[in-house]
Amino acid sequence: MHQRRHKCGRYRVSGVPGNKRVCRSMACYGIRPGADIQVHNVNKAGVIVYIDGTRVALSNDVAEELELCKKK
Amino acid sequence: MQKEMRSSRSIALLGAPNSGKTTLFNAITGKHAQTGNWPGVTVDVKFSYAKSNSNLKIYDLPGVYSLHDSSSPEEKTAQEYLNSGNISGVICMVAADQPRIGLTLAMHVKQHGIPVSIALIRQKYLQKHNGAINVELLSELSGIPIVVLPQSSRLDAEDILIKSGLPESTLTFAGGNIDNCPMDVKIVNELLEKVFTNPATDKTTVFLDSMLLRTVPSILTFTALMMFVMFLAFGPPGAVLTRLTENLIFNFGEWLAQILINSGASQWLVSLIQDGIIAGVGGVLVFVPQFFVLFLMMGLLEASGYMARAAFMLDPFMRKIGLSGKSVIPYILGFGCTVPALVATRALPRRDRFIVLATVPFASCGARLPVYAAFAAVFFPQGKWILIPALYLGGIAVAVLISSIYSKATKKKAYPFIMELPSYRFPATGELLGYAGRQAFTFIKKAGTIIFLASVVIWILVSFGPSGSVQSAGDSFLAAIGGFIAPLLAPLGFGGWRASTALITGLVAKEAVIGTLSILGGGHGISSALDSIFTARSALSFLIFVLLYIPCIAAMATLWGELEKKINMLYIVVGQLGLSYLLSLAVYAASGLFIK
Repeated sequence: MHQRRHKCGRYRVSGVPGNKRVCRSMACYGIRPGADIQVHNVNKAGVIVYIDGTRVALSNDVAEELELCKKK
Repeated sequence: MQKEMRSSRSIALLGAPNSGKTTLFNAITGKHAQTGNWPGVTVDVKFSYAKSNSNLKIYDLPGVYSLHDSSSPEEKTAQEYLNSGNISGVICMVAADQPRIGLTLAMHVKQHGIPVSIALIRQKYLQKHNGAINVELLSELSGIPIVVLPQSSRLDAEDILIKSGLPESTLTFAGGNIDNCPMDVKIVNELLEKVFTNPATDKTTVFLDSMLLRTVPSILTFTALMMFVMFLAFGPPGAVLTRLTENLIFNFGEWLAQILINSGASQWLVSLIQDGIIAGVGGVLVFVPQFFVLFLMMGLLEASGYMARAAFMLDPFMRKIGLSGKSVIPYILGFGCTVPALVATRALPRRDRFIVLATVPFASCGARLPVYAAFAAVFFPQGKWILIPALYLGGIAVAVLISSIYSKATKKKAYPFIMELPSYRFPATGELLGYAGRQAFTFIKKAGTIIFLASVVIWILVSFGPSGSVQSAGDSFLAAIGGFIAPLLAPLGFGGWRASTALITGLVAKEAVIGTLSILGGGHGISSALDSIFTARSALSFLIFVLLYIPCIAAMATLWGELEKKINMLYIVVGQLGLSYLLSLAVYAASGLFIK
């Protein structure tokens, strides 16, 4: 965790239901395909994003599934 | 779409988590279901009848972000109710500052064929942050009646129901599976483009999060906040209030006894009232002020929006023990009462559920507080506000250890964490006082019912024995019952029949431990009772046992209902009893090095 660096910016999610794993973890929380996701902040616990204007905290593994962050 | 006629009308409250459904439910029904400024407070369906109309049934559905998918327990439950054909209409909560989720839900329900209206909240907040929503145009374009709700503390339930425009008929609607007719989000987007202007970013929330959501500051803040809460509740401020209440109850008992004696009441009646009821119920009631202060502060943390941040920041730690940050929520609820905490585990993924169900009782519920406070005040007066937090932390440490061992043994990975972070807000004083007051009232109600009955039964059992009325409690029925298991507890330092009897009555309600000890100590106050039954060393061992042994009957019944495999109940009970015994034994042995 200490060596992890994140590369974040503004992303647009598309084709989410096509990916079963991503779909399952996201659909539970209603992230719709094409949702506007904006990364606000990154810390050791995870990533804080705005999803369609709603402030949401994601753990690092979810952020990686959404391709919001990459491990270096 | 029309399915059948019903004798009563049913309205469901639908919305995203933390959208104010339960607040509206409480306003309409006059109930006091728990609310909070964090997602996941409602995980099951509550229902009650409107206080203004006994034929109107109101359902409080769990918070959902969509009705598309049934992989989360909350969405599945909401879908089942909407598909059941028992609903006459739906009131959908929509936040004016973030209308997309609520509006999508409302449009989805409308498309499904169920009459729906929108309850619009946070409009004042939207205006304050330079946003705007054209309510009339939105209602016209969507074809859904909209009621703008004022601040939660000033809800006029009758007015809301009339303005909602929902049909008065008892017809119910169901159009097949709601999840099979997905909502086209383009329609919602087009609507919002015409009626909605985004608010400016909440700078206070962003600033506070930039400070609090960093590793070191978050740990320091969490620790400091918890210590501050404990200091207020159990340190000098709480102790002063408790002492005043104790004096009040003692003087009331003396006054009442004098009146009874003067009016010629028989000795047994005076003894029943003074040594049984006043000693038992009063012994528990003296802790109401501390309980009130604790829940006032916990209510402040919950309503402010801090708890969602705490869950997020604790997520990495929880992952190390194989759980998600969401598991923090049942543990925090468990500090209030184990029963809702056990129910709250329904929001967790199945693989996390069992271990959280098994370990949530280790989070010290409010009912154990009188036991800790009484023992700490008598045996550890200097360090009581350190000892009590240490007991709370000790329970959590045991839960963490067991979860860690379980996740390593089963080689399971933590579930992904996604949680909405609500804006910070300072709750209204009335809201806070109401929350703490309801918790205290529940406590007082329990003292007036369960503890009252337990006190009378204990007094009878301690006043009579196989040979009739007894002079010495040692010859009583209770002594015989307690004496049966007392030898088993002797290695723990509290092998007397009075301590073992208190542990048995503690299964009815944990507060009854203090009530029982107070009665068995001769009815001269809890301090002298504890002094005559325990030493400092055996008191410490007893506290560990109370912390870890099985919860009350109500919690056990809930646990039974929540467990998928009922055989697990046996493992949990045996495990908790075994663990409490072994740790009490260890503490008793180790404390011999420091305490006489």
